[in-house]
Amino acid sequence: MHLRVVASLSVLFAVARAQSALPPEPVPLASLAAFKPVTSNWKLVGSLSGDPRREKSLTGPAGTGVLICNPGKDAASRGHLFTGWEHGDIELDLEFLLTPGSNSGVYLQGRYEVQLFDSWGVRDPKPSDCGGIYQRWDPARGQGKEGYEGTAPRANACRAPGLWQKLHVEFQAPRFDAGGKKTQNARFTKVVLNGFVIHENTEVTGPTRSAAFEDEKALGPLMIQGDHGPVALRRLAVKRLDPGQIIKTANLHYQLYAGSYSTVGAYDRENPKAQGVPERLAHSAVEKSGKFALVFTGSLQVPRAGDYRFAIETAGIARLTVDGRSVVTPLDRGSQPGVATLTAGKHDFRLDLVHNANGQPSLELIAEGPGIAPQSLTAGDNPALLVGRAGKGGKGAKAAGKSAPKTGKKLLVEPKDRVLLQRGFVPFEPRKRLYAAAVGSPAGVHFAYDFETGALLHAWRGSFVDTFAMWDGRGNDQTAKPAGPSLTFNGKPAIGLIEYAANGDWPTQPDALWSSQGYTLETDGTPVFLSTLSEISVRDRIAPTPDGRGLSRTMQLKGKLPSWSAWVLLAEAEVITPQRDGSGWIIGDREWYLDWPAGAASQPIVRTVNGRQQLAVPLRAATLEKPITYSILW
Amino acid sequence: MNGKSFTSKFGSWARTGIPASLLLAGSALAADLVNNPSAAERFAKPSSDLVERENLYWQRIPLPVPDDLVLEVSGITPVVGKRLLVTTRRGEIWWIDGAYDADPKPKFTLFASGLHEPLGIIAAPAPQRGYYVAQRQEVTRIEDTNGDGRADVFETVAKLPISGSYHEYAFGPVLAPNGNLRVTLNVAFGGATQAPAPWRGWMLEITPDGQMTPIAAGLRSPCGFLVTSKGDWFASENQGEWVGSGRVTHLTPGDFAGHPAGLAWSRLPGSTVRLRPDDIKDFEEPMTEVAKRIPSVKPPAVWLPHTVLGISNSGMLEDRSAGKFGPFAGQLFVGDQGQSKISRVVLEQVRGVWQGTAIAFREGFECGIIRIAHGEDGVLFAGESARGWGSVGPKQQGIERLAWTGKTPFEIKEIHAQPDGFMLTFTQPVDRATAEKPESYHVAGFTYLYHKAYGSAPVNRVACPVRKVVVAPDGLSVRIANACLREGYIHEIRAPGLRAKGGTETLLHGTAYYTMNRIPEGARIIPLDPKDAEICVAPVAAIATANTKKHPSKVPADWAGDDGDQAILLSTQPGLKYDTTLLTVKAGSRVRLVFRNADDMLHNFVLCAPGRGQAVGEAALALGIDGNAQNFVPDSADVLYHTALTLPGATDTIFFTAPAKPGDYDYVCTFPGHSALMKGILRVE
Repeated sequence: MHLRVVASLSVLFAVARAQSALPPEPVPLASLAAFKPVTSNWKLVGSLSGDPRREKSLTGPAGTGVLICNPGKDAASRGHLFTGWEHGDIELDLEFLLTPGSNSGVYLQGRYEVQLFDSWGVRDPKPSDCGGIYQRWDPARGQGKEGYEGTAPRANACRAPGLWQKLHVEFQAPRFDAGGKKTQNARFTKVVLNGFVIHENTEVTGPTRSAAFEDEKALGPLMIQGDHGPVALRRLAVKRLDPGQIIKTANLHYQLYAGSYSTVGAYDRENPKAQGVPERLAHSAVEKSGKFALVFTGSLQVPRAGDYRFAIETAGIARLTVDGRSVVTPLDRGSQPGVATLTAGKHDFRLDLVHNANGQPSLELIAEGPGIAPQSLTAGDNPALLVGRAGKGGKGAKAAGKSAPKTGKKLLVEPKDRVLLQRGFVPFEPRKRLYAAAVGSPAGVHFAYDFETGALLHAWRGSFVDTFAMWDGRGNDQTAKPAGPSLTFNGKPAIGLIEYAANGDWPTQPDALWSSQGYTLETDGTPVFLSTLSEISVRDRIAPTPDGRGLSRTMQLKGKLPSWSAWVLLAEAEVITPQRDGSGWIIGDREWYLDWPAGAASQPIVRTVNGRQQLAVPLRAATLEKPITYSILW
Repeated sequence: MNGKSFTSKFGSWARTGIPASLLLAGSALAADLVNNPSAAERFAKPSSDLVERENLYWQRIPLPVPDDLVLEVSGITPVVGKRLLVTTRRGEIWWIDGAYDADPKPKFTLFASGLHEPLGIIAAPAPQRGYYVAQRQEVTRIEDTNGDGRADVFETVAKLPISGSYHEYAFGPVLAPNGNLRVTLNVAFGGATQAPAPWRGWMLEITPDGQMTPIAAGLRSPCGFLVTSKGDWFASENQGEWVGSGRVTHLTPGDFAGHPAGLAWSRLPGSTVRLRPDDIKDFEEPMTEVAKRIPSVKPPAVWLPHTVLGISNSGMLEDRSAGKFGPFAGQLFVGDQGQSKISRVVLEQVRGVWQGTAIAFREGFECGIIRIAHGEDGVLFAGESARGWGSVGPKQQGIERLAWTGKTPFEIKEIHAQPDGFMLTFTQPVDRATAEKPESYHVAGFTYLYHKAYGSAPVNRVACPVRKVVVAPDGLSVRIANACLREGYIHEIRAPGLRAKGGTETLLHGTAYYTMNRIPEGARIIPLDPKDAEICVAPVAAIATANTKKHPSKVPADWAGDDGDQAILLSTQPGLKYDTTLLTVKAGSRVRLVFRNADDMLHNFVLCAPGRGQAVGEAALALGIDGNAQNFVPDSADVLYHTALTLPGATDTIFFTAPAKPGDYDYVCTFPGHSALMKGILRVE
């Protein structure tokens, strides 16, 4: 039951917002200027060459943009990478790539490690697996017991060696009092690996194993481990936040208009019912009742130049202008956040609140800037009601000490001794797929299939499927959601009839002649999907590869080819390149592998249409009935 | 949940080792989703006297279900050998063995899983094999071809159009006499377009090779439908927008049953419905009047008055037990989800039009009924799920058996329309002395408005004075003649004064509702009285939205234009819930309460004396059909303040002074059947 206390609760409005909305700033990798001098294991390259899926070292052509590390045997070739700058609270994004068995790590403040490790295929990750918050280490604890604490990732989101992986970290540095005594532990507010949240609010009591520093400080450099194994890095971007930087308001003045207004500014030509200098920037600082419009003007003092983002949370309608330009724009109800580029120093602002509905008024102005964490400029506001607030991110519920918002609940279905197929709507952009199913195997590799197109929609590992949106209450969404870290495909029809074979783009809609006939289940529950396209019948079997690290798909076609050129689509991406050893293709910018068996009856070709590449098998009468088999590895 | 007695019964189930594959993560959640004991305590109990009497004649035997099996039964088909095959809303199909045992300890064996909310199952007729189910997006044929007990073929028979709204249920299939399948398709939820995909709101016929033919339009939420042994199709309907009350409509090709959303597709090839969306306006008049002008609008054969004979009518069944299930062979039964009961429908054709009687049959089930089916020996099985809407009874899901004990209650068996009234037949001879008195009977007519709004209050209610009574020599029938008979109207017929032969036994269910679509021709037993025109005019219905002491909808004069001391916004949520279950106010403070109904059903807010919420809820239930005119707020000292009965999406604001005495004051929704779940506490400090 979702309980919420409405009345007579005061709310802390200045709740820290974990995630800010301004994008992080790229750390250029055109040179190593951002870093302290590096040892010989670190090298800038233009891209990756060689075969990092199989080879144990990294190479790349001359250039910049990608930083590779191949640890050597002596101190001069095994150093870690440190940024020249230090950080406290930080958000960072980076992409990394590992070779088979490789091991590295991202150390926040040079002290707290998010492990980078080739954990491909691991079923139950430990703190030492990729994405883990590594254990702390204390030899005094005795042999075999040195390691302690540490937090495993919620799921193994690690991809195969040689693929680029995305890491996003939100970190809060430890806090100290004036005497230097720690008052709050460091904390990984959020860690996302390859799009999957693997940590939330994970606290660390001190530096983890192999930290560069054993003490704890307010600031420290970002460090990438360079002595354990090869690692490639690119697209590093950070947002360093300085908790001491405050955005201030001054010279406040207000004008109050009584009555029910439907839009912001509708009262501009009227005489205010009251005006004056408010004690602070807060609607409650102005005495009023019923419906009203309230205008605050004043100056805004920002500590540094840069982009500032403003947002207003209100039950009414609100607008913010800065230096006469609209930044937060009003909506029918509420407002749309906006960004203003400001110089350091003072700026005029005007804040409008129209309260024209029943219920208590509310107004909270939130700002963030370059290195400046989101903060409430209306702090101190203390309305009596939190009606309608808890829905927005559950903040009210949190403040009231109530149970977590419903959105956090899951209803997981896990295959234990048999492959499971669960029909449901399957989340997909831009629209959920309605004639679809999720298929999960005890081997821990799962996928979603679209009956309307014959397309694979997602492939994932970890937990199988979350049915909460189908099976709780009325199930408003009716989706069977992949519950583990997933890879999403193009969702286009598996077989395309293409009028102009050379240039015709792949159809996005299912062919009118395509018809799903359903599926049969093998004795272990593995589904075989049956479809027809004109006079071709298709048996499509998708199952985990024998090693449980990927999916193997076999399409068996029978019948008569149509008069139009017919193709089977295997993959689509901006770029598709052959794997060096001929075992298949690398899809996208090292996103996943498609392995193609040697000696197959037919061969796919790479088509380039509208700037995108498609890996597709042209269907020919002579080989039509030979099975098309390939593996998807990621 | 009765865990103790159940666990000991499941040796047989444990051995078959089911939900092999199903794990529920999060124990708190699991507790939410399975039977929730604390919720169970809050459920209202139906009148225990009536349930006890009913149980003498039709005995209810719940089938124990393992605690970790969420058996939200959505389809039942009996299979030879005293087996049942049931579908669940979670997409599983289970064999149940032992369902007929005197002290059932059934064995559950999983046949199939992974379907998308199937809402019906039937055996495929030869030469086809296996079973047909309707899932949300297709009709599927399911078969176990290798004989290992698990289905291995899931053949798509027909793809059903959907847009992705949760409200797009597909009901069925039902086997047609010609060997085809029929399904009905629920409209999508709310908003401007409730039929975003073709054939939403239609009944379709589908051949075994998947050819679809649209049959009839105008459905909203046609959970139950059937074809009678004589070949006539009827569908049950849920109250909602355009549907004033629950009802059963006779459907033939080309019919339009009233909800206009599906007319968006009446232009498509294959449609035999000629009406177009523009033909249906927000009429705000009785459906029977509209049907006189637009003959394609088909009023129901029988109305099931909302809150009296259910609030969400569901599965239907024709009694084909040839007497094994009691004296009502050939009649229809209609289940109800919200009120966990079954009503009885007796049809007749008058001047070519179907009409007839609806009357209570059996209540007190453990959970809302979705499906009913006859098993062998005429027993009835009821498949249940409360999920999403809540229902009366202690369980969230389950299955029960209902068997006739062999005793015949004193009941109205049938009602036949007469040119000047009704012929009532009985299951036992009547007591002549009470039966011959006109004052033993009360008849009143009313109907519902046909409009876009959600549901309708009963309107144009007029008493129909009983002028003459003729009791048949065998005492098994009574002809009553009354004034003010109106075509197209529902006639409430009560016989509180009637006794069975012997002089003491009253009717088990003393109120019947006869929908008089056509008044038959024939000989009258009372003359037409010209004065009747005067007494048969309905008074203008007054809906209690006015500012009253207990419904203070105006700012009290002494508040001097301010908003009071405290404003509270209280909303509803789907599933019979307020969004807040604890409100706190200061004693004696002036409170402005804004009640916003965000659900798709009618709700109110009734502030009661401490601990009196359930009593007030039960008193509201007892108001019956008359409750609507007073917002279902009973006339009781336990009621302190209340809002109006508020339409979906609407708000009602009341201004009141909080009680001076601190304490926990109950608030409930008194819409019949809601108070058990829909409640909270106003804490006065």
